[in-house]
Amino acid sequence: MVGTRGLAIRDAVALVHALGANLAARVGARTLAIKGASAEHHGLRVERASADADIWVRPPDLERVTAQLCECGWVRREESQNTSSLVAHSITIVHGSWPCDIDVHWTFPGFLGEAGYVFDVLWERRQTMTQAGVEVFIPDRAGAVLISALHALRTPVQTPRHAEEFRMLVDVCAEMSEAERRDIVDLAIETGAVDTARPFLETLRVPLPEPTPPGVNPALDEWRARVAADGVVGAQALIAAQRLAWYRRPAAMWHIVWPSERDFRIDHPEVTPGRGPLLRARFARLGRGIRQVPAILRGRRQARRGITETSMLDGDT
Amino acid sequence: MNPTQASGLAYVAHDDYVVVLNLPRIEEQQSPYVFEGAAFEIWSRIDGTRTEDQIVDELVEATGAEREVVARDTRDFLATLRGLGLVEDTQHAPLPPQ
Repeated sequence: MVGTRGLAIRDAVALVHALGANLAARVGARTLAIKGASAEHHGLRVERASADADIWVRPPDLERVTAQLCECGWVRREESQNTSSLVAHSITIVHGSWPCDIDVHWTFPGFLGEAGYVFDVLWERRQTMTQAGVEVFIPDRAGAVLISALHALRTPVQTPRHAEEFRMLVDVCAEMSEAERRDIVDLAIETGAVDTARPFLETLRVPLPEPTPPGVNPALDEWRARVAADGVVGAQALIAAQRLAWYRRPAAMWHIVWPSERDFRIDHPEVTPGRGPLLRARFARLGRGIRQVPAILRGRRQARRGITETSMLDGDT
Repeated sequence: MNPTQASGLAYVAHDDYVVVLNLPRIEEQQSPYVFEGAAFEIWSRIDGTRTEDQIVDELVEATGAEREVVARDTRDFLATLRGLGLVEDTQHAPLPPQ
């Protein structure tokens, strides 16, 4: 009598948030549901089905939460060496019977404060929402606004949807009281997001501290280079390689340009078996990389000048 | 003894189906159940206030199906749900006749 209807992704995401909250509570871990569910709850984006559930875990609790998920059949998604080096803020957990993934974050890009401190600041301001009948912790509205802004600013070229959501965020915040807008800025200052989120914060009509000059905070320089390069993969890869010791950079750069067949096929599962399709796909990827060079150079120029890109605000994306 | 939905379940309810995740037994039952059709109709009536017979009566009245068939399906489904730990039996008195 159990139905044959498939599990809808929207239902799955709600259930996964309930699952995450339940498992975290069992081991005394602290988690916040972020992005989709939380943004919709706070009226920061229109309702749409998310492809995954994003859960931010207090860094010391990460292993306990992932271990709990593994007990329930969830496993870390196989990823290439390049993906591992580019994604330094979360891991993706999957389960063969579920249509959605779980992105388990231990930090969130753009918050440049110490990861544990940033989480604790957001945790202290937490609210609750109900997902699949279970109480789930989420950031408060100011926290959710900052997360949404940073998410949209970080990779503007990935999807025009980010630009649309960013404009909606600006419109929603324009309706807020001055106290609410000032609170968002204060939170950004406290969590190290005032420079990274500056293009958004400037729309709030609240005085901001002077921008941090280039060369003071390497993480901020990386952010500026990435954002001004529209978040293209080439810029991300270059930034990741620069984090390495000088003697490891040549091998890392070569691996970015010409990854192993295993890694290439993990990142490009659409490539059919055989050497011919593989070679064609490799050269197509190289071509895309070469076309990204102007954006990468622009990003590096902006970072050297200490400028945080604002083209998304101008509707250029 | 009235059947009632077990405590601690996660669920997403719609007009014509419900998705239920057995959080208390999540290690063994790792994915959710989707109840639709007759399963949904029975599940929706398992609230601790109705006896099994009352659930059957309501379903017969709502669908016009043969009581014997509805009673058998309801009994089998409840047995499955009890086995999965999705349903427990409570001591609540049945609702007075309306």
